[in-house]
Amino acid sequence: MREEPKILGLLCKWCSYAGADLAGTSRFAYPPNVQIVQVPCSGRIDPVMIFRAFTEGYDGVLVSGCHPGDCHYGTGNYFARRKLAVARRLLETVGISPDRMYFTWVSAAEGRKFSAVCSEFTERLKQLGGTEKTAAREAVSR
Amino acid sequence: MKELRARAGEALANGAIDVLLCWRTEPETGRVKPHVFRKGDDLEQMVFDDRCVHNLVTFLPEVAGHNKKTGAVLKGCDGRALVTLLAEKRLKRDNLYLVTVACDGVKVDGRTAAKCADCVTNVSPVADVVIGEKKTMKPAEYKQLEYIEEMKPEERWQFFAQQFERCARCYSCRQVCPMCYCETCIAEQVGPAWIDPSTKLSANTMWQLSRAYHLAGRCADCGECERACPERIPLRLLNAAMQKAVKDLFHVVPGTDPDVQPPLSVLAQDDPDSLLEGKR
Repeated sequence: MREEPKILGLLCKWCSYAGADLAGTSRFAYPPNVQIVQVPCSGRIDPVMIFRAFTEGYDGVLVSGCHPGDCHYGTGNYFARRKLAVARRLLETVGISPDRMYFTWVSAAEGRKFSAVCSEFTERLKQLGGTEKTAAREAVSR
Repeated sequence: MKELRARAGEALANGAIDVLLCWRTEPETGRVKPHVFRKGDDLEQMVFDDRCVHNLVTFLPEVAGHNKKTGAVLKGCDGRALVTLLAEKRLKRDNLYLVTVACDGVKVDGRTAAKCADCVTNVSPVADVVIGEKKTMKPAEYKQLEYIEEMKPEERWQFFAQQFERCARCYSCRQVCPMCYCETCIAEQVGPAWIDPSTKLSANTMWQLSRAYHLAGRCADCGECERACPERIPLRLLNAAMQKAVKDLFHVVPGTDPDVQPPLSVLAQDDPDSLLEGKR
């Protein structure tokens, strides 16, 4: 097991990506484990992207969008909330710990929250990493 | 069966329907297969018994696309699939004439199909004609999942890895599924190609997870995917996991109520945020 977990961050363009940007410009330190992919809206996130991340060997997936009511497109995050809840249960069924998924809302003004989320999630994955052999790692090696 | 032949024959004869989708005993082989009956066809070949395993709703959109008014004979699970297709506007209710026959369970390889033990309705929830008695069935419990739920996460993955490893990516499960109607399946999409077409474990896992996820809140539990699978992968188990999640989170059992929309395509602003933790 590598010591450092690899995290895929799927961030919505309008809030969370801007939030991550703010964390950077405000010089809030956060672990460099998160690799960020910008998506147009959290509603764009197809759970297939999350499955792909795990079968590609990522240790965790961070998904973040605009707070409910603040979606740039009005409703994308409400659909995302339902889809992600179900996707999480599917991964749990096949043996991937639901703790490896972190779904949250970060607004463009919450740079500090973004940095806290990244730190918390990285720490959580480090705790999980040593003991649990992930489905992802096995799948990618075969 | 007499009543079915009489009602269907009458509707075909007086032009109320153009065609009727039903099961037929093939005279040459004695096997039961889905068949499109037309006016003047030998209705003695029409059959409804425990050999009628096929889900006719798989063929219904195509048959209905070629005819003004299409008749179909449905079991309970076929009807559940139809309810979802109607909600998704894949079919128009006005163009259909639906006959449902009370089903006592079907047989696969001489044994009562596993899905019949978990049956929630013996007649179709939508129908113009009901033949036989509608029975009160026990609610959906997804008991088959207990076996999985008792395992530790690592054991679960070991179990599923063994299953997924066998997948030959023949896509029989998709072809036979009434819910899989995308013109370009995500498994065949290129640019971006989300799912690697090779049969290595990671690619098979991608396919199986995507297939199961796409059935969330839609699967009618007709068991056709599992029956069609040449590698006997327990696909119903994954489907049941999805439907149990949907029942826990959104209190929906797919296909049982014609007035309920598939839960993942519903705009729900008052959902609790605890959904993000997978709880309600």
